[in-house]
Amino acid sequence: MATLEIEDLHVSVEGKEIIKGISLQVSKNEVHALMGPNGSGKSTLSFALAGHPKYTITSGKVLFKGEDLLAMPPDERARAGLFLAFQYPAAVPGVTVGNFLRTAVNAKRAGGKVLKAITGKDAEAAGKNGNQISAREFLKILKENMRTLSLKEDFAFRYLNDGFSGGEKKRVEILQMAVLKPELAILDETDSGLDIDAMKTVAEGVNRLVGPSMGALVITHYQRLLNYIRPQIVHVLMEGKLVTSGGPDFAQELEARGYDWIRQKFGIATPVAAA
Amino acid sequence: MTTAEETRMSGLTAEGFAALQKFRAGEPAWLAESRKRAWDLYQKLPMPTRRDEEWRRVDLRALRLSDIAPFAESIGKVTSLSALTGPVKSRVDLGPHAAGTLIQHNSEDIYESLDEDLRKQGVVWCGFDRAAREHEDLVRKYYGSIRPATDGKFVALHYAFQSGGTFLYVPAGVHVDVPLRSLVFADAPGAGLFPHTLIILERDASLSYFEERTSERPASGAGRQNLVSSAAEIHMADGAQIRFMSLQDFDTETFNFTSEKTIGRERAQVAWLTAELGGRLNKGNIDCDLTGKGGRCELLGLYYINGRQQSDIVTLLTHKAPHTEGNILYKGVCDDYARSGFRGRIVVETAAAQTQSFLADHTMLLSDKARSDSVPTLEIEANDVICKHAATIGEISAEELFYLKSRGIPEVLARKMIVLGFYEEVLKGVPAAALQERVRRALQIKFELHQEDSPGE
Repeated sequence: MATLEIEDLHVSVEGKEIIKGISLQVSKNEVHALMGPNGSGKSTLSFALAGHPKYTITSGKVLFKGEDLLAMPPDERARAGLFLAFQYPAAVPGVTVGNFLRTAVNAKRAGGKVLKAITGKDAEAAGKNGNQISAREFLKILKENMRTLSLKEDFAFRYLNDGFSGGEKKRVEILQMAVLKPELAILDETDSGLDIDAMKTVAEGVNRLVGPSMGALVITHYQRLLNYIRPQIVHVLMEGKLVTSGGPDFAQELEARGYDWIRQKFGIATPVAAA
Repeated sequence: MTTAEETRMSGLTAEGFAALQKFRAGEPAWLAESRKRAWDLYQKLPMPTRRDEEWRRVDLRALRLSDIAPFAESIGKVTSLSALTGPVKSRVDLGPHAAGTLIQHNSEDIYESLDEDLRKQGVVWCGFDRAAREHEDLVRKYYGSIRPATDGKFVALHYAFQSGGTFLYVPAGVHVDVPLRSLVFADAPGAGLFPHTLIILERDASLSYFEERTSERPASGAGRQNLVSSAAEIHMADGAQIRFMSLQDFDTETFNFTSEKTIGRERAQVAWLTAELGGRLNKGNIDCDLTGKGGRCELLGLYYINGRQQSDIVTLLTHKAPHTEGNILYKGVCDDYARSGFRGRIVVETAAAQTQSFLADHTMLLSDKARSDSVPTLEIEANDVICKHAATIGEISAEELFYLKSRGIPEVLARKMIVLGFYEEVLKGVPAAALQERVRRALQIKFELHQEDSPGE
């Protein structure tokens, strides 16, 4: 059984079908790349899997570790071990990176039960309260992870994504992944807006985690990220369908030849207007 | 002495005023006269109506002044904090740690303490009623000087019925770094409370100050209205600095009127945050005049109201001297049927060249039945001035909410984090971590109580 099993998934946004029947299986230890031109449905797939309310599943099935993923609210999906690294993560003013992530870790430990503990003395008391992690203990773990991603320590006390540069946001997405230790990570255009050094740092962060306890679905527009995160399989998504797949070097071929030859080969209409 | 039953029956009426005069027989003559003048004025002033601009959004129809006792029965003083019991004690235990504490229980000051070092340096800190007797020169000089009874109907009412409050005098160059703490605790259903805060900071003095006003209604007191009409006057000499945080958490059968003003002279620095959580109605007038060169004022406020609570804040920052800096920032959250109004005004007078001043208020509505109005005004009479305003009304951002949920945080917790996070910018405006933490906790408690009451969420 694969960790993530998608079966003939159809997704609509505001009444328009974007994903038109996708089947895909990703397991731990595996990296799958999902490539495709703009508007092919890559981000729609990732949001639908994470449970964004704007995306409606019209048919199909998704199993996560054998459970019905689509029956779970978004927070439960995350606690079950699914992680989405956002292309454009939201800024949450007034909520520090440290407080936010500790709350997320504790929510997972509490199995989604709402415990009254987020700041100050409450946070300290939480450490003495069953399996909740205390602010101090958590800060240590957070700082270790920040170091490996070349994030300065003060990020723990900065407001989540508030005023972060594009590169900082992406690093903080990977930081969250490292701390939350998901079983399956979806990386949505994590390379966009990154210079080559930042991309290497982010890729190293991902590579450290992929293994016996995590698999990844890497969504990207360009092949360059895949020089650093090597996928076993590269899938091509066009017009809401997976049209073909290849081995690790397929990405380079796509980069060199573009997507038009695939359109012709598989008989896909050229879109009238760019999405 | 008047019995509790008599006062309860008398109301804020001529009989009630006579009962109060009798109750306070023996107070200094000047204070008794000031009371009488305020009472005469109160009777002359018309009750505000919704035709008055500053009362346009305030519903006073339910207020029954004749049912409100002019003062509450005496409870008696305590000599140490350990002698306190019940809800007053729990409040005190919530902190913050203080260098001096004043507790007013209903109409009377029941406890006062002050750090010995501060006392030796000449700091005076005591209940207002005692100050009126023992520090008459200072109190007479400043009492009612910047917030006179003529400022409005409920201000006149305050001066007529004044009882309790605090007096603080910090001599030149003395620094009060650990906060002084004033707690007003009410648990007498149907009583009126009229505390007066008078703070005098001499040249280059500095002060950290926390004021908390709260009530616990015994079950037997349900259905009786309470009224609080308080005034605060803060005088700051050249170079004085204040970090002032107030937290109001009355029960929802209390009508709360506050009228507060600070005057800051040259290089005075004001960081002043008012946090309003309680009350059936909270009507606040909060003003600051910067009258000397180089003065600075952060006039900050936050509120969180739900149920059928109403909040209406009128705030005015006046620049009267050059090179002054001002910032008004208010943030409020309304849930359920709550309604809020904010009227912020910055005036830059002709003399106040090279001033910069900002006015912003942001409101978050958590229910489609909650309402909020905002009226920001800038009046600029000087040249070479930077002055801007901004106002927003919104709801919890769906994208922020989804983002937090996508990390495993349940919706109720995610909403709480976003709402509490919304206030952080304002809290950070008063650089005193312990005070910030105290207000943060009060917000958190109110939010959690509300969630427990709302099984639908």
